[in-house]
Amino acid sequence: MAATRTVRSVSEITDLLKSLIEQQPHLQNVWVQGQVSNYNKSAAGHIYFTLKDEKSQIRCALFRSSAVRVRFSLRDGEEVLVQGKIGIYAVRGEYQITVNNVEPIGIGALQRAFEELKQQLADEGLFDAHYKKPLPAYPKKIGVVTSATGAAFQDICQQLRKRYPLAKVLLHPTLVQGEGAAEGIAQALQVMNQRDDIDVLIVGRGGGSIEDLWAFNEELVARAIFASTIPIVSAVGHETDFTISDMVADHRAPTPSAAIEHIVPDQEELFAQLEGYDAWLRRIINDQLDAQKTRLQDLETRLAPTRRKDAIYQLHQTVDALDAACRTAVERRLNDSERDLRTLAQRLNALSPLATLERGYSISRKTDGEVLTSAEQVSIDDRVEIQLADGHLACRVEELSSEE
Amino acid sequence: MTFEEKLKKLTQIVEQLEAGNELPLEDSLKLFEEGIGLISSCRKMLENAEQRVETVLETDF
Repeated sequence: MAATRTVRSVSEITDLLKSLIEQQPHLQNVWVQGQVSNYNKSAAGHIYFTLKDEKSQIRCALFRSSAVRVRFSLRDGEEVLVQGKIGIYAVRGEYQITVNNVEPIGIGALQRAFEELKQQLADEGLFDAHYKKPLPAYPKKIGVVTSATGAAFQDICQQLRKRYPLAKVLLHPTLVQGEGAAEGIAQALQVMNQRDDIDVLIVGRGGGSIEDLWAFNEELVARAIFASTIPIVSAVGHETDFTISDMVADHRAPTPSAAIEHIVPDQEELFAQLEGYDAWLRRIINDQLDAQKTRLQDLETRLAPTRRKDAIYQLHQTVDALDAACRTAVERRLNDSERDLRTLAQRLNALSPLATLERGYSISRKTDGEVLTSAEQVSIDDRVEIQLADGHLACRVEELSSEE
Repeated sequence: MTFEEKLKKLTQIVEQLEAGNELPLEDSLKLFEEGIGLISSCRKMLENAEQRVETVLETDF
């Protein structure tokens, strides 16, 4: 007897195998390592490739919804670890892995994506220091782009209240993690930039896993930050978290509340500064008043009657002194003259004929005083006066004789 | 005047007073009074400041 033959269609077989496979939990979540080949990306954003090792190969499908989570660029020849489930592609009767996630071997996927974008943006100059805008000293309004419900915004408000409540806050709430976060942040930055009342922007969020912070490593966000005409402080996660946003932003703050410390002065310091100004102003004005007072007192003293009497006495004294000096000078002058005169008199005496007379000579004069030096000057009976050393003789000429 | 403008003006006054020995006393006193006034209004601005938070009203974010 012939065995009963059950004839099945191709589809039935495929469906049977499909259900057999899908009933195996360990096939529904597999990690497979291999090399990428036949990489192909469809217009719709789905990615197809083959994963192979030395002996075998498996078709892989990475659909768009999962593909967006892959932060690095898949390439042929790449050694990767895929995670997904085994299934059957009925149209071709092929089994395949529907990939949920792909990681490069050796370096973490996110790390790899981070490094790639960082390098690209650095090459384009987006981190260059000369693009960094300075922060305003006393911002009037601070724009904040973050989640409305997150701790970051609470921290920012609390810190601002403490430090510088003069500054107003404008929050643009946005998703900061998960699907659409990057788009939301980028759009919020654009909206803020359309306003003209924002002096500085804070973009950021509180701490979280590297996946949570990922929006701040997205190119879209980096470019929106770079495009901002308002200075931006990036404050993502904790001290140790460093994102692409931090690098593109004009300033990086380690945490959201530290961002406030970056951008506003501390009112305690301002009060102290005002106190200083107050003291200084008072000192300056007091100094000036004191100086004027001193000047006034000085003038007053100089005008006082006693001072004036003093001045008169002083004048008297001066006059006396001058008087005395005059006298002394005149006396000295007289004495000098007297001495000169005596000297001259002695010299004159030495030359005087009187001395000659004492030696026995005499001078004869006519009555008119003419000194006689020749007999011819007189006639008989003329009166002649003879001067001797100690007296005069009156004589009459009795005889004339001439020597010649 | 904003807080910043007031601080700036105050700094100017202090510098003017510091420099101006030849400034007439009346002018010095006027500047001084203006400075003291600015200080007290700056203090008041800080003391009375109450944090104001607004939210951008966007339908889709």
